[in-house]
Amino acid sequence: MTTRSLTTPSALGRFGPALKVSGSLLGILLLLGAKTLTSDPAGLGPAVNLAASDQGSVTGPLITTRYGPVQVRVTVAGGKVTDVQAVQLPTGGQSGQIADYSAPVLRREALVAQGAGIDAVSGASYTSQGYSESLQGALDQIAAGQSPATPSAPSNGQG
Amino acid sequence: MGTVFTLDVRDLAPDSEPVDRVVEWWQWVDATFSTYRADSAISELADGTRRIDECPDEVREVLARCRRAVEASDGYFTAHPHGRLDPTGLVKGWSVEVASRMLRDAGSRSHCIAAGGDLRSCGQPVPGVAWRLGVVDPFDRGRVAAVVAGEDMAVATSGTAERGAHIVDPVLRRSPSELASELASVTLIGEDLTHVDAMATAAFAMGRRCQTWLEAQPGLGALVVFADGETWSKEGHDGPSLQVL
Repeated sequence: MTTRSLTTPSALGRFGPALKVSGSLLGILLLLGAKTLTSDPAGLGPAVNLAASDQGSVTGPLITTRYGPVQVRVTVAGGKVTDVQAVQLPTGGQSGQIADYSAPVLRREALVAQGAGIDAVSGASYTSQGYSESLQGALDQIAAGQSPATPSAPSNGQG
Repeated sequence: MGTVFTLDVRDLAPDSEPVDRVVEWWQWVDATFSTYRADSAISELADGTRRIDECPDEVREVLARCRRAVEASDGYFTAHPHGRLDPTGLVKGWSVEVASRMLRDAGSRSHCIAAGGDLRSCGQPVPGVAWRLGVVDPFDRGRVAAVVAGEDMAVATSGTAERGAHIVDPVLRRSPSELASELASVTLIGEDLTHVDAMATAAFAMGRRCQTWLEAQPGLGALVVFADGETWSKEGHDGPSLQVL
């Protein structure tokens, strides 16, 4: 599975003045050195191409992982992914063994909220089968023209 | 699971050719080096169904860099972490380093690339402002334990928080859980992410004694978070500033 999403700079601007510049933010998921748990052994499906008219928020499918349930909500405007929020994330676990499914956007939001003014984070895990599957599902729904859905599950994100 | 590569380019358009070339590069790297794809050059090389001279030049380059990483780390870096060829510990940082060079060659002087929590920044995010790269607190992953500020920087973190105890000690053969009983995370700061990423993994494999080794590496800044919550840090010679919060 490859998720390729371009995020508009304006959407990032709300996380800090330093981000209010032209440019691009792009995320791509690769299987490099990571065990795929999907039924797709090659792992690389087609990337989702969003139309310029695509907009709204869609909640992706609930994915069960070894660490617990993962579900994300994607917001699209003008054919670009502008926000990704975790609707459900695994919680708890042993110290040092907690899977981190927080979206980069959520992470950035949380970090900026504590006043650190951070551009990027080292040590944050952007490796998550469940996260990417749910994200992909949500993007597929948007690309298929489904109307925006409202998340019904409670948010218990750790971001 | 997969690794998300994030490209934050401030001075090139999303649909520009250099950005497209970087995406194609990472897809090629994935197809060539993924140990979870049976048809990758690395898998076929490990299986013995392909000879080294039948592999792309980049495979030989990576294996040469792995040998240098083994020497630089007194054997604590390994390209055979589970007895089988697996240079992933170096490929991720190397592929980001190459991507940053591709963008610089295309004229970019303002970008930051992240790959599974490892970072490579270039130039300034906006004129006159340094990049501020956070290091996650391994005990509270919504919190920043330190901030690294500078321009051209490579920052890599190895630890147990992301994938549990998984790093092996190739020298003393201590178990991943034994290493995790000593260290929570090792973050290294330098200029070349290929080197920094590989040395972060190697330093974690050393366990508690990585501090002694890191003290003898003038070019590397470091933040070590021990399993008991204690921290130790140092700035690299002429390196970016490291502020432990």
